[in-house]
Amino acid sequence: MEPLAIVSFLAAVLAATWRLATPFIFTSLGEVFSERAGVLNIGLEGVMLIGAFTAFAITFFTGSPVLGLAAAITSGLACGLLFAFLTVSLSANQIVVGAALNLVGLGLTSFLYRSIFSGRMETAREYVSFSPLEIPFLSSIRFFGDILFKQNLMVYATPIVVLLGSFILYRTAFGLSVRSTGEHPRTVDSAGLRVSMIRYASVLIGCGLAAVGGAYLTVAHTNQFNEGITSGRGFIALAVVVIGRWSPWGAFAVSLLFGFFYALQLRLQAVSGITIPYQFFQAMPYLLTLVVFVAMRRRAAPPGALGVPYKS
Amino acid sequence: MKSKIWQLTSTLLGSFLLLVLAGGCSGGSEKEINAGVFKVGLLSPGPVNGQGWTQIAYEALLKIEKELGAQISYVEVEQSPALFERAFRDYASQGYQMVLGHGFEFQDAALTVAKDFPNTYFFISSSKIREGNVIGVDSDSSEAFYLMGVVAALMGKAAGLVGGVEIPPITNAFIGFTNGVRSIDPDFPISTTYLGSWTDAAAAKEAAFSMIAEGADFIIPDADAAGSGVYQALNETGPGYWSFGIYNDYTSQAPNNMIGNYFNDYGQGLVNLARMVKDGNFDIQTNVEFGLKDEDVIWVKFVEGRVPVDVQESVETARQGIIDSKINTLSPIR
Repeated sequence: MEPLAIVSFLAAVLAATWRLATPFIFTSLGEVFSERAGVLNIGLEGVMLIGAFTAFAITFFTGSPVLGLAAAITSGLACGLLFAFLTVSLSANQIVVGAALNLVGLGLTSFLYRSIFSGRMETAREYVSFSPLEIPFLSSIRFFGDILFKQNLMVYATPIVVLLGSFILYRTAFGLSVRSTGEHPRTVDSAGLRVSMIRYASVLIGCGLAAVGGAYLTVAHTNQFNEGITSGRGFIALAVVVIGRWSPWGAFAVSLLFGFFYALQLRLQAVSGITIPYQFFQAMPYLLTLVVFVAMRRRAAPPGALGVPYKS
Repeated sequence: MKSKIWQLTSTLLGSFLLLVLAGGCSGGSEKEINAGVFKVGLLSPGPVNGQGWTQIAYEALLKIEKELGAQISYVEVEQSPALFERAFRDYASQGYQMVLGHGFEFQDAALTVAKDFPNTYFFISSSKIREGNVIGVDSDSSEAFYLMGVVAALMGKAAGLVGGVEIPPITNAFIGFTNGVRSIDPDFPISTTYLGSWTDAAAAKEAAFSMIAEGADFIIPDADAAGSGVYQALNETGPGYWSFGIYNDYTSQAPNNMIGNYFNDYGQGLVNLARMVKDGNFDIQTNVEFGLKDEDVIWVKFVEGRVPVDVQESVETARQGIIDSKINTLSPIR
């Protein structure tokens, strides 16, 4: 390949990287909060689907993706409330409730999609989504313009949200209590703080952001909903949290890494003349993300009280 | 101890409630026996109003009732093979002339039952079998894709194919496309990407962007719901990039980029078969494979004003060649 071709190849892959990483960034950031407070929510896939559907439906009927996104966050918070009620207030098994949430997410959204939108998509399609927003001047910079300055609003928002999340988790009293709750809830309790309230808040943050991650798929990256559109992203986000060592920037970096390898495999498949089975390309993002993780291994233990209900 | 029991109970209660919320319900229907009339039964692998695959057969059944005055009945057998045989036997012993098992999974049960009921036609969707009165029914997308390949090679610079999963219905369609392209231009570049998913529209969109960056200007999906992502990528990229609607009219999703639509009305094909059975002139000796020869089942329609007359003529020549079996759309590709 000529140098110029390599540059444009890389630019296109890196631009796709950020777009593909965005749903993981939102969802895994939220799960970082949840797990740092000691609550393991494996129901992310279900919450993402509910967020994706809610955003789609509200945007479809109001014509405003902003309202759609707001509705998605609300639906995520509702899921969070249900999840926290069962796992925190009733001390139910987090894995079981999370698994059930995934089933509810798929079943409920499929049911509602069919009953509301069946046969309706072909006719009226006045659907407005967050379209790519080219930033004047900056977007015409070679190489970087394509990657950084021709994205949609939700993609631009990711570093800001992660910065905010990192600040809250490490620099505020609330963040300290979240981290302590995940490590040693008894201490938090004896300091006079309410473990259950902190866990409720963290689960709500987690589910709210997972819904945003799902909404991104229907009102930003594509402008459609279909059954199971999240395609397993909620489960990948769970792995991202672990590989990113339960830190917001770690999750951000691992999401980008996974997005990069995913974009790369799509691009390599499209290069005609390569005769490697496509399954190899498809496994690549998973394998290489793991390889990088192993290569960069540092000490990082999960939160001490992860998955353990607290009884005062 | 008490709290442990409470914890267990609430876990079970909570997940049960959620599961109840998630679950649906389904039911079947049977009608009265009435000798002397034309009777058609359907074994549906899921809820008949389940959209997509199961709904196709159900709607065909309703059409058979309306157009042919048939007495119809269906059962939703879900995925329980034990029930397949019994359902076939029930219908056949009640004198149903035609029973459709809507899915390859019904083939074995039909073979077992069919020997005892020589006067009933057992049709099996997605099967290529022909053993006596057990007849596989399928549709061949490779013929329509061949025509798309002809159009792409005559009008474009390079083509991209975005598939859901690498399974025969998809690979055969792509072989048809490639043969169509090769019949015009043996050096025309074609690239193929598989998503490994039928639902991931975002991945399909990025796959299409990748192909556009590689120079493709004809990008055609065959990936079920995910395929819409391809149309969205073309719509965002702008005019000069083309695609075909697959199985349906998708022109509205990329009004400036759709060059035509490939329609596949499998249900109409079933109605045609039922008509033959009813009129007593079902004389097909092999399995049934719908193709371009079944003009009301499989056809390609161009969007007005997008395809030059000479290209349309080439397509028509190819179509005739396929119908006359002079062209093999599935011939192996080196």
